[in-house]
Amino acid sequence: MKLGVDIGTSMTKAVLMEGAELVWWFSVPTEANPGKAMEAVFSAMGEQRGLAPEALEGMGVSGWGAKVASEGWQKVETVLAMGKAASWYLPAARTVLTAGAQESIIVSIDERGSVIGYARNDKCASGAGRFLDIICEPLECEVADMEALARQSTKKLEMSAQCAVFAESEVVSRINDGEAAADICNAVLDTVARNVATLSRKITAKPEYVVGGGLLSNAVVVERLSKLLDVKMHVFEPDAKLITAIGAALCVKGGRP
Amino acid sequence: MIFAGVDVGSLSAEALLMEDGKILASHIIKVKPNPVTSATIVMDEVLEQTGLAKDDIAFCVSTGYGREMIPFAQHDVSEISCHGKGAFWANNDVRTIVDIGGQDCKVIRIDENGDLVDFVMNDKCAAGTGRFLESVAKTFGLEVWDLGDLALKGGEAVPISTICTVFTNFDIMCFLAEGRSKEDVAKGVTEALAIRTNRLIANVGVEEQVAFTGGVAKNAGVVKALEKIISSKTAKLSVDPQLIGSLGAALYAQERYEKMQRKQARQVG
Repeated sequence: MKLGVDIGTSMTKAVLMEGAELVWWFSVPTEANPGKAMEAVFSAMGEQRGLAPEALEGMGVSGWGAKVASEGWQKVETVLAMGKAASWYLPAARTVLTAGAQESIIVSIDERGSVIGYARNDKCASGAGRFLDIICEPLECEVADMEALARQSTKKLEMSAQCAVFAESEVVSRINDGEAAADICNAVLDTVARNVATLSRKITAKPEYVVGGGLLSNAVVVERLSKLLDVKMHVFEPDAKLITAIGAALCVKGGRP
Repeated sequence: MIFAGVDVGSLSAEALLMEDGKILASHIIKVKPNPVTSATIVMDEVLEQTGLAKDDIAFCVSTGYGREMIPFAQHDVSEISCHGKGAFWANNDVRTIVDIGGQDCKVIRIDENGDLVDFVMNDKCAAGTGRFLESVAKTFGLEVWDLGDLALKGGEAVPISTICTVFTNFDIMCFLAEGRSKEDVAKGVTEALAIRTNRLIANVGVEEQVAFTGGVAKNAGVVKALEKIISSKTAKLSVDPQLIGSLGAALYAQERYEKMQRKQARQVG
């Protein structure tokens, strides 16, 4: 059995793979402390699966927190993990897009899931999941509720700010103007989708197109993005946020080092 | 004869009265949600300070956010022009003005007559503006001023994202979690702001002397980081840097008034 872990800036995701079969998954907030998140993964694996790290064939780690991984871990480049995972989910996949809390990456892959090219935005929050966290504060809602809230929208609003910080101020003034939370939320998701689309255009999209990552768990964002780019998108299953963790497990080579 | 300038920004509003080429009174307030309300409150304050009435003002110019809506201003002028005018008045040797406001950053170049040569502005991204400092100070649980003071005590600055305010806040949490001192992290923050500002400055180039204006220019930690990165002589201003916009507006008020008088005199003649 192989363990794959993706230590993101917001959430740490872990999976156990038996060959090509996903047998267990788990996630926990990273809270800016990758070491602690890894410990949480091990204790959950012990409690829920009765497995100790020593019993594993290998362990792969990807994502922002991979830098802290100690001996015994294989570090897997996020883009490589994304490619393998997309191909595992859908063998016909040729383009993979992930959008997480602080990073969006688009990768073009071949029929074996190997990376041909990629583009990344990890410099600006305008197309990142963190954007939604920030906006939820004045809207007084949870990120998980934004999809349902946006679907209640009856009026089209345009947001002018691209910057997440300025967008928060804009949301506050829209609320003060008496605009409905549903309409504001809808406009915010439009903005985020447009910002992710800007990155996505850096790679020529070839079908099939697989998307994953926490931000793209939001079906409204995926719908808008799909329309903007005029492509059909397959949301990674069983859970969009697991894509890189599964890829990390799939990339683990051989037995224990 | 009394001339007035009023500058409503995104975070603060200032009013300033001039008489015979001297500053008579000035005041700074935190903005209210409505620019007209802010302008009225701050103007009433300077009038009260001097015991003057609105009618005593010969001419008033407004600048800043919502400048065209201010009912008691006879004319409005852009912030770019006002900062150029005001900084040159406060020190004739100034050729480059870096105005870091609450929600934008402008770099303005003027010539030996104080006339505008070139300018560049960032109002699309919060990094490199007062909002950056405000947001970061919140992460520290501090006021913006205390953050600057903390930075002055820093030793080795930590490397922090210079591009996005949101990511900077995350970097800060990580460095603090790693056990880096608050002082070093704060110093990293002021250096990040300076690096970002310097990128904007590079678009118009620096000509000495350089003046820092706007509210952020009063933050010693930030000014120190800016001076270090620009490595250029900083102009001393005879006026509070936060008042430069309103000062410029008052100077334009006088100019405009005198122009009108000349025109009227010609028509009569």
